Amino acid sequence: MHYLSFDYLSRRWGTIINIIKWLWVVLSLGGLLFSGTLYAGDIEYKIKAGYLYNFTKFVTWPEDTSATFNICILGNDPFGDLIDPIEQRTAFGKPIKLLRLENNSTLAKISKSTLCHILFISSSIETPPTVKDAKNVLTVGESEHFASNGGMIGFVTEDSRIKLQINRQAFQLSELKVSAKLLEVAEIIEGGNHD
Amino acid sequence: MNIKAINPATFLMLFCCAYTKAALADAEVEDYFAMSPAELANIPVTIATGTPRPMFQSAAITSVITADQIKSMGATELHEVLETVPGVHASLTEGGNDYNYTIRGIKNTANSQVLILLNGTRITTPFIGTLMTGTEMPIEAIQRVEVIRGPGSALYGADAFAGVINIITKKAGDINGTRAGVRAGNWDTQSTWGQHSAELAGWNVATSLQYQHTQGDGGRIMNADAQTAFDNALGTNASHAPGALNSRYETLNGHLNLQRKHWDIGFWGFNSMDAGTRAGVANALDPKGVANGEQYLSDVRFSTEDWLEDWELTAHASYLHTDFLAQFQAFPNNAKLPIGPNGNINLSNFSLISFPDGVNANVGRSENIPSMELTSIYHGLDRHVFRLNTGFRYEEISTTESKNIGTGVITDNTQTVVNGQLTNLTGTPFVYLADTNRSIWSLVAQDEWQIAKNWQLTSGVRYDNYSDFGGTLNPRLALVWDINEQLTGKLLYGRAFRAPNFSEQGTQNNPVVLGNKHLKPETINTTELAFDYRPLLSLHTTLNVYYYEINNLISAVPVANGLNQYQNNGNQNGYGSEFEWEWQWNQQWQIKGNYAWQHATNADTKQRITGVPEHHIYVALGWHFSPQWQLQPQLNWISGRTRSLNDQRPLDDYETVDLTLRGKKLFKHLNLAASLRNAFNEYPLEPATLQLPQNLPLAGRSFYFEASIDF
Repeated sequence: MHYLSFDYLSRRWGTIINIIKWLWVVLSLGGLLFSGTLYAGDIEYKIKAGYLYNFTKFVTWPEDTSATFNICILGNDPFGDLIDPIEQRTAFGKPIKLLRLENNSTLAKISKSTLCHILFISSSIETPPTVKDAKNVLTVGESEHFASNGGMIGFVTEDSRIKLQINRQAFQLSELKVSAKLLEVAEIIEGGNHD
Repeated sequence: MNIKAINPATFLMLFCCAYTKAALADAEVEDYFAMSPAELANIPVTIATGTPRPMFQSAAITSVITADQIKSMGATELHEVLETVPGVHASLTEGGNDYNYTIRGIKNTANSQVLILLNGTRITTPFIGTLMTGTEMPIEAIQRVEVIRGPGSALYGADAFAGVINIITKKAGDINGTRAGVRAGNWDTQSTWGQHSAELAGWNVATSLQYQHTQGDGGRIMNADAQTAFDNALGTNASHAPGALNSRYETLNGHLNLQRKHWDIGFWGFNSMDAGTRAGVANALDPKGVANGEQYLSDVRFSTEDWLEDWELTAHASYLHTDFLAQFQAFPNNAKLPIGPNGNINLSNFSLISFPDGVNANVGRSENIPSMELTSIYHGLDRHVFRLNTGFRYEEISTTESKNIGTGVITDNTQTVVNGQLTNLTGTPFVYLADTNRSIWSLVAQDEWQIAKNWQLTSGVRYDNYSDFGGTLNPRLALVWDINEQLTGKLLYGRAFRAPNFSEQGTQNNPVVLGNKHLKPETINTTELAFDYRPLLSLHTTLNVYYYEINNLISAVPVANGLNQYQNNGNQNGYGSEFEWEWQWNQQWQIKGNYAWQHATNADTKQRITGVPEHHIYVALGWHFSPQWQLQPQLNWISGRTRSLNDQRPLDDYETVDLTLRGKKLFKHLNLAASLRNAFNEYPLEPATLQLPQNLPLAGRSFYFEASIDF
C-alpha cells in the first residue's frame, strides 16, 4: 500500500526530524532568552556590588568607633546572596558587615546603636529616609532621580551600562570625601532639591 | 501539585541548573570587587559575560582576557593566551626564538613592533625593542591581559605600533587570602606557586612567587642547521643536527604590590636560571649553551584622589633593570670556518680555520631604564575630561663580550687552528655594541568629549623627543556612537611610531649586519571602523575593518659582499577585518571565537608580506557540565602564510586542538585542572631565518595536571 511504502515512511520520518529540529531551535532560543535575562539581572547587581565595594576605596569617612564597616540594604534586597562574599573583605581595617533593613522604621530603630557607613536604598523604597543629620552616611540609591533629589550617589543605566551620578552638594554637606577617580567616571549633579 | 508529575530528569535539571547559577554568581562577584569604577562603568549589562575595559582605552579596539578565562583555556604561558586574541598570532623571533606577536600582518625579526606593559609600565627594553631574551612570565600571577590592536603611540609613545599588550597582575583584592598550587606535566615540566594578601599597617599587600621548570619538547627536531651547511661545504662533521631545539627553561618570578589611599607601589623580579638557546645563537644547535638573565621593575604611583575638587594629579616613577648573559657555542666543536682578514666569518675572502673546541662566546648586557610621568586630569568642565601628561625616560645599555672569533680576537687568519681560549672584548672597540644611552621627553594632551548623549569624541596627541633621532608627533581621533541599545559604532584614526633600537643603531664588528646612526623611526597611519553588536541578551559580536600604511620600515639592506646595514627601506600597506562572537547558549554551554583576515603587502613590490597568516580562526566551546566542573575544547587554525620566492622550506597551514578540564572550589577550597595541549600532535611550523635550512617546529602534544588550594 502506498502509505506504507518505504519512500513515504522516509519522507514522513524526515518531516518528524524537521519538526524536532525546529522545536529544538525554538526551545533553545526561548531558553537562551530566558537564561540571558537571568544573567543580565545577575550582572547588573554584580556591578552594583562591585561599585559598593569600590566606594570603600574611593570615599573617605571620618573616624568612628564602630567595630565593623556596615553596609545597610534598605527595602527589598535586590542583591540576594550574590553580595554576601563582600563580608569576607575589609574596609579601613574593619570587617565589612551587611545589614538588611526592611523599611524606614527598621532603619530608625537600629540607627541609635549602629552606624550605616553605606546606606543602599533599593528602588522599593518610595520615600527615602531623612539622614541629613548623619554626616557620615553615604547614601546610594537606584531610583531614577536619586542623586538629583539629594541622594549622594545614584546608579543609573545609560547605554546599557551602569553609571554613577554624584551629587556634589550632598557630599559637601556631609563629612565624607570623594576621590577624583570616582568623579572622573561619574556624571556630576550640581545642587538638587535638598531642602 | 502532583509530585509524580516531576520526572527524575526534570528534577535533576532543576537541581543542577539552580546550583549552576548560584555557583556562577558566587564565583564571579569576586571579580567585580576587584574592578575599578572605570571598568565597572564600561560593562554592558546586556551580555552574558561582560569583560572590563579601562575607560580611556575604549576609544580603541581592545580585547581583555581575564584570569578565569586563562584558566578555562588551560594556558600556562603568555603566548597561549595571546594566540586567542583576534588578529594576534604568536610566531617566533629570529635569533632568540622567543615568541613574536604578529598583529594584523605586521611582524619584524625581533618583535619590536609591539609594546608590552606590566601594570601599565613599559617592560620592553631598547636593546632590540622587545622583552629581555627568554622572558617567559608565568600565568598564575596575572589577573588579566589587555590587548590593543592598532596604534597606541598617542598615549603610550614608541613601539605602540602594531599593538599594545598590557599585563595586569593580581592585587590584594584579587588574591584575597592565600593561594598555593602545583602543576606537573610531560617533558619534565613542573611549576609551583604561592600567593598571599594581607592588610599591613594600613596597606593592602599582595605577594606572589612562582617557580617553573621544563626540559622542553624533545620532538622539536631540526634536521639541519647553519653548521650543516658548513659541514656539507667543507667535509667536516661538527653539527649537532639532527637534534632537538633546546627549549628548556627554569624561571623564578615574583611580584609584590602595596596599595593604600593615594599610593600604588609595585615590584617585579624575574630570574631565568637555565634557559636553552633554542635553535642556537648563530642558528647552529647548542645543547649546552645557556641564555640567562634577571630583571627587576620598581613602580611607584601617587594620586591626589580627593584633595582637589575638579582635578586629579598623579605621579608615576619606575625603574627597570635587566641583566642578561648568554654563554654559548656559536658553532660546535671541530667546526671549520672561512675566516676573513678581519677575523670574522667571510665567504668571499677567507682562509679555513679549525675550531677543535668550537666557536665560543660569553655575551652580556645590562640595561637601566628610569622613567617619570606626571599627569593631570581635569573634569571640571561639563562633558569633558582633559588629560595632560609629561614624561621623561632614560635608556641605557652597557655590554660585555668575550669570544674566540672575530675582529680583535683572530688577528692573523693564516693560522689553521684556534683553540677555545676566550678573549675579553668588553670596553674595547671590538665589542658587539658600544655602551650607549638616550633620553626621551614626552608630552600628551587628550580630551574626552561627550558631544551628545550617544556620541563621544576622544582626541589626543603625543609629542616625543628622542635625544638620538629627534622629535615625533602622533595624534589620534576616536568617534564612538551608540547607535541604539544593541549597536555601537566606532571610527578611529591613529598615527604611531617605532623607535630605532640600540641594536639597529649601533651593531658593530658583526660579520652579517651593521648598525646605522641615522635611522628614522618607522611610522604607521591606521584607520579603523568597528561595530559592537548585541542582538540578544546572551550574544555579543564585534566586527571591524582596518587599513594601515607603514613608512620607513627598518630592515637589513645589502651594502657590500655578504654585508648588510640597517636602513629605512620599504613601506607596507595592509587591510583586513576581524570578527568576534561570544554566545552564552544556556547556563551550561558557551561558544566563543574569532576569525581574523588580513592582506598586507610590501608597498613597493606589491608582494604579500611573507610568514604571516592570512586567515586565523579560534573557537572555544565551554561546557559547564556540573556546578563546579567545566570542560573546554578549543581549536586554533593558522592558514595562508606565503614564503619569499627563493624560499622552498615547507610552511603549511596547521590547526591545533586543546582540551582542558577544570574543577573549581571543590570542598570549597580545592581547584583541579588537567589539560591536553595540541591533542592530535600536529607539527606546526613557524618561519625561521633564511640561514636555517628548515622552519622552526612548535611544541607537539603535551599534558599536565594541576592542583591548587585557596584559603
